Amino acid sequence: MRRAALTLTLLAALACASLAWALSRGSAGIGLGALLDGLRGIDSPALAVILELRLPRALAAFATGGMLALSGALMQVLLRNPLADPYVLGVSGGAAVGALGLMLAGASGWWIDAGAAGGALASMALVFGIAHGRGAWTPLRLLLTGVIVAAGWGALIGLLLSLAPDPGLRGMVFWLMGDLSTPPAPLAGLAVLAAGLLLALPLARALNVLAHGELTAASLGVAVRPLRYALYGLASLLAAGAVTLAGSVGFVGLVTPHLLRLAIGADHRLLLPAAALAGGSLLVIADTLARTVIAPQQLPVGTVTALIGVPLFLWLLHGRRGD
Amino acid sequence: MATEILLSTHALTVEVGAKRVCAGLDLEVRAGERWGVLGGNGVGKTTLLHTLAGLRPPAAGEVRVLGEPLARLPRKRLARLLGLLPQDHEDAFPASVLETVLIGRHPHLGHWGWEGEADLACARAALAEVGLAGFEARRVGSLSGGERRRLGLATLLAQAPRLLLLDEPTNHLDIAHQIGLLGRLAARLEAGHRAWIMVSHDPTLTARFCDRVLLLFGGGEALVGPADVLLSAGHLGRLYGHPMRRLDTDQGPVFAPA
Repeated sequence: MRRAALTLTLLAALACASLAWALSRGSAGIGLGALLDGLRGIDSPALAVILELRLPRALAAFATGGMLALSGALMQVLLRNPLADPYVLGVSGGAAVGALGLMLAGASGWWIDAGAAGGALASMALVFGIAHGRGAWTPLRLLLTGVIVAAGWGALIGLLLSLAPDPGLRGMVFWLMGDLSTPPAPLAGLAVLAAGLLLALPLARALNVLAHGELTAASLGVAVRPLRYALYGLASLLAAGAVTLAGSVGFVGLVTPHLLRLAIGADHRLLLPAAALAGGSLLVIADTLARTVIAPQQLPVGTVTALIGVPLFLWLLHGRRGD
Repeated sequence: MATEILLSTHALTVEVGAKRVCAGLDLEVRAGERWGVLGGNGVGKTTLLHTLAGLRPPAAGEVRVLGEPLARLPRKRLARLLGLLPQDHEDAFPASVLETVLIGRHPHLGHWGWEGEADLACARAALAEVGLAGFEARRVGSLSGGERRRLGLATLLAQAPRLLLLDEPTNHLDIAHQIGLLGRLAARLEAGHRAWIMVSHDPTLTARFCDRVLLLFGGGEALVGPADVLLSAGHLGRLYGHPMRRLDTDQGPVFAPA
């Protein structure tokens, strides 16, 4: 338990550092000095840049990354598959069809986010309904249903992209790759992340048992079916929250829980809060890079997460044999 | 003093698909008893064991634990009374040996409880009991089949139920571990007023370590009784559909296919 406290303290420090870095980086040479001035009551245009542009974006990135990593950790136990990610059951595909469909119809702003949220929730309900079928709600059946529904969304996304006129195409592709340049309601995102974590933590020890198989879990007194419903609902809602905030940012939800399992062990009482903190920090760092590396040009943050995540992950896998 | 009835079945009928495992079965498992369940492949031994563990509902009749209907017992209380060693172990995620044994303490901890010193001591003792002392930090994936099986047994020992439901516990174990582990477990049961129900494919081992047996012939036909009476060449020959011979030695009967 002391080790858990130490690990979480370190990750919280990482989260604070990543946020501070995000606030201090950007064009126009505005650094944290302006923020410190602001704290002393000195107002400046630089302070406005930090508080009105960088802060909401950094908070949105943190919320998105945290939701994705937490969702991924839950989804992996639900599907008993360490390769599952928040999108594997089609939540992001549904969101993309909703968002791109509305973009194609000429909608903008708030409507796009509503379309994404609606698509994500519709996909979640569809997969649950089909996979449930006649009783046997096995991880394999859920996974297959989700993967097939996601493939269907993929086809619809391709259709929408091919129908889109050239001027709108760039915005659609950016949305698909994950983009934080116009995040809606970052505080709401943080609230969803906090609520998700608070709801998931009471399940954590039961998840440790469930990771050893449903039969073992049931014989150790875990109510397996209600637990799996709760996991499905939580993981899907967190994924829906993340895609609504930032589009489908890849990789954070798959890699963060994995890295943490290798680094700090498989105890979900530690893993779940650690995933929220580490996923958030990772996306804040990736997004800051995305907007500064070739400024003023901005990169979609999803490409940056993959560019950081792929080598990091391969390096960790390589150094770790015999599992 | 009458010994306590840990588990009883009342007109229990168990079916899986169109197959009938047992019909109208009445049995009483008392503290200190060691039960063996024998039957051919696919006759439903595991299904019956899971029904007794409360993991699937019976087709008819009921199972009682300490006199109370099993379906009405709270899950965690049930898990402190009954524990299952499953036939196979699923390890989808990397975990250490110690983490794996500690899940056995789940039913003993409060909702927000963390494993304390007593739970750790219990887990280490269970590992030592199955000959895995010093394996605490090893990854489960790096264990051999027999070591993984002993780890499963250690998890069950850490769970410390009154009635142990063992599904082919000697799978993957070498002869020394088969005899040694079952012997130590039997001694532990006797001392702790516990009992086991063991599914096995080995009539010799069953004769050596069980005092009562349940023979499942398929089609719902079952025989219940003392091991030394029911474990005869005739019954076993019919059970397996292959003639059997019984050789009596000073260590009990040995069964061999004729």
